[in-house]
Amino acid sequence: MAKVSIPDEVTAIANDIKNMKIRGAGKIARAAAKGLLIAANEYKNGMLENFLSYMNHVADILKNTRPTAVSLFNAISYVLSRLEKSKNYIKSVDEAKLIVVRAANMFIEYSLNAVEIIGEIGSKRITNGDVLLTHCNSSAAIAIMQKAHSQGKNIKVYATETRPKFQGHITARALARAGIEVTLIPDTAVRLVMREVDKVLVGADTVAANGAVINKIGTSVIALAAKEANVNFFVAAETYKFSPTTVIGELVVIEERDPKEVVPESYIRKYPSVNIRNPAFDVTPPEYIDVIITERGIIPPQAAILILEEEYGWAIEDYILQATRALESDEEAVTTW
Amino acid sequence: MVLRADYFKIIDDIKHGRIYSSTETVLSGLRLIYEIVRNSKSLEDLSADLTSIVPLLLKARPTSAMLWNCVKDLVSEIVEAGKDGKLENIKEKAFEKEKELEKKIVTLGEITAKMASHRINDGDIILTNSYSTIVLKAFSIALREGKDFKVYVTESRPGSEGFDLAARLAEMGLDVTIFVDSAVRYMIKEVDNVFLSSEAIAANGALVNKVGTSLIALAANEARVRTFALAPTIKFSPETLLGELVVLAEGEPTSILPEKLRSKSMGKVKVRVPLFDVTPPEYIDGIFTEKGLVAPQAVIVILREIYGWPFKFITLEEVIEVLKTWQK
Repeated sequence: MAKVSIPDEVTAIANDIKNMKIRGAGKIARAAAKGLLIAANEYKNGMLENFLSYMNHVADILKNTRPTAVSLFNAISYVLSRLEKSKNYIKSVDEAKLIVVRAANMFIEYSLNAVEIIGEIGSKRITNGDVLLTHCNSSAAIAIMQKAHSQGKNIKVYATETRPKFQGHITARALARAGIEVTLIPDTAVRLVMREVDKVLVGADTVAANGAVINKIGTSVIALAAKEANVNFFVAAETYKFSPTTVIGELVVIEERDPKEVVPESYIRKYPSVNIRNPAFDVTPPEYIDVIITERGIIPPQAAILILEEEYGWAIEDYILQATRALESDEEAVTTW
Repeated sequence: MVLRADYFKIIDDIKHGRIYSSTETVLSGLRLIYEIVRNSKSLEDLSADLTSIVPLLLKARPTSAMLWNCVKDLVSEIVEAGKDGKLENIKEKAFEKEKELEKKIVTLGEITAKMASHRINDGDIILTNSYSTIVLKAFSIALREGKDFKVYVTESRPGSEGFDLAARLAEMGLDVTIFVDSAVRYMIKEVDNVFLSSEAIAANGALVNKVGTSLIALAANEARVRTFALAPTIKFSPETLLGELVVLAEGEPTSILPEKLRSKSMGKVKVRVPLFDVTPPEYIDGIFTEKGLVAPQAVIVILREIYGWPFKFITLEEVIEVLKTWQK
């Protein structure tokens, strides 16, 4: 493909996602939608034939920033599927731009509302006097706690510091600012304090077709400790975190990040032979999860497939179609079948 | 000449984990008591110093059964030697006992390490946490014997001593990998055995150790990975036979939230820094001691062997009561 120039602002968004200046699945998704919106507005070439490939190119750049963030993929496919579906009827570049801009704005608004609705729905599950435990920094989980607090429920929250990047500090600050009693603990203390906890409430990075939740490293061991102590484990997740590709058997790839997040550079220089592993996420199996709180309602994790069919049926059909086509094109495969 | 201020500095170093390994803690505690004996001018002086400093020393690391046991041994020896009222005799006996205990701690640790090293096989990946002299020794023995194995070490917040242990192991030439504590359930699938150090073993076989140990044991149990504690019997706590609960110390809030971070709008955030936790016996497959590998449920048998049944031992409080009578 010919070299296409990408607006600086879009490159900046891509970089911010990559460097985790923009973090959190919801924020990443909205940033990607905004990136597409800007790219459409800034499209200079003027040729309608090239617009689609230009937008796909921008989408690829945005997708590659965090290849494991499903919200990023869903946001992009939300916007571009609308362009794709109407491509045979579009008559001008301006019309095409308008479709992208509208779809992106719709997604951003939907996403912002989703967090608020989750706060509303989830807060019903919090009772007066609850001691909660949360991990990392989840807008949806915080929305629930803030809502419960504003309803006059007296809650206390344990926030894990969340190594390696200490996102627990951000959570602690946000809750303290909202007037909620919050206690920061090291990640290692989770099993010790679990006896005092009534409910665990975490966010999600990705929800798989079987209801497994991929979230910040450490989530699954917290779920295990909660299960052991018979403590409820709640996940708050917008539906754009549900992964359509897992329906066709794709595994969610766990990103391993820069060792410098774990130890300072001086340590690496001093002890070059020490290996450093830095998995960013882990997988919590559905049997450790009581419910997933979405903007569509509270579901058992095993019902994840229903959400996927409803929200992303078209995307799933597309994946299945592609897979079938690939199979058919391989004649040998067809004959052995 | 060691000044009184130095006594308190040592206690402070133990309390805040600047002296972390339980072996090093006990050795510096015993040396501190001997210094007090050596510097005292009269029985009354000695009694006053010991009765004020010994409880402080124990409170600095209340979980350490080995500290408790050894200090009790040394102070009992001092009380015994003081029966005829001669300070010189006390100094001599305390010197001998202190040396004897130091040697005992090191020897028992080494035998325990040797036992544990038998459990390391070619191709194994062993997971450990925190910083343990005995676990370190077990790895170095296995390495010397030419075993080809890898070690995984968790960071072990608060304190992050796991990184120091990893550095020592790497210097020994071991293949060592570090990761954050949260990654334990993710990494455990690759692990063959878990080696845990110990702060104390209770009468029911429960293990008191660095916070996070019980979470590792839980994850290992779920993944059906064998989990062993390394604990010479000097780390078994007879006080738990009397129903005493092991007191779990908490650290300074600033150890995980430094002041400079707190000033930035974190004013009302509370901080809890537990330093130890308790791993129930059902998550421990075996305890390596100098007497061999025992089931946690058999700890009571060993305690009975040492203290008899019905068990007989004097408590530290009783020893200190005798010491106090010297002041009158």
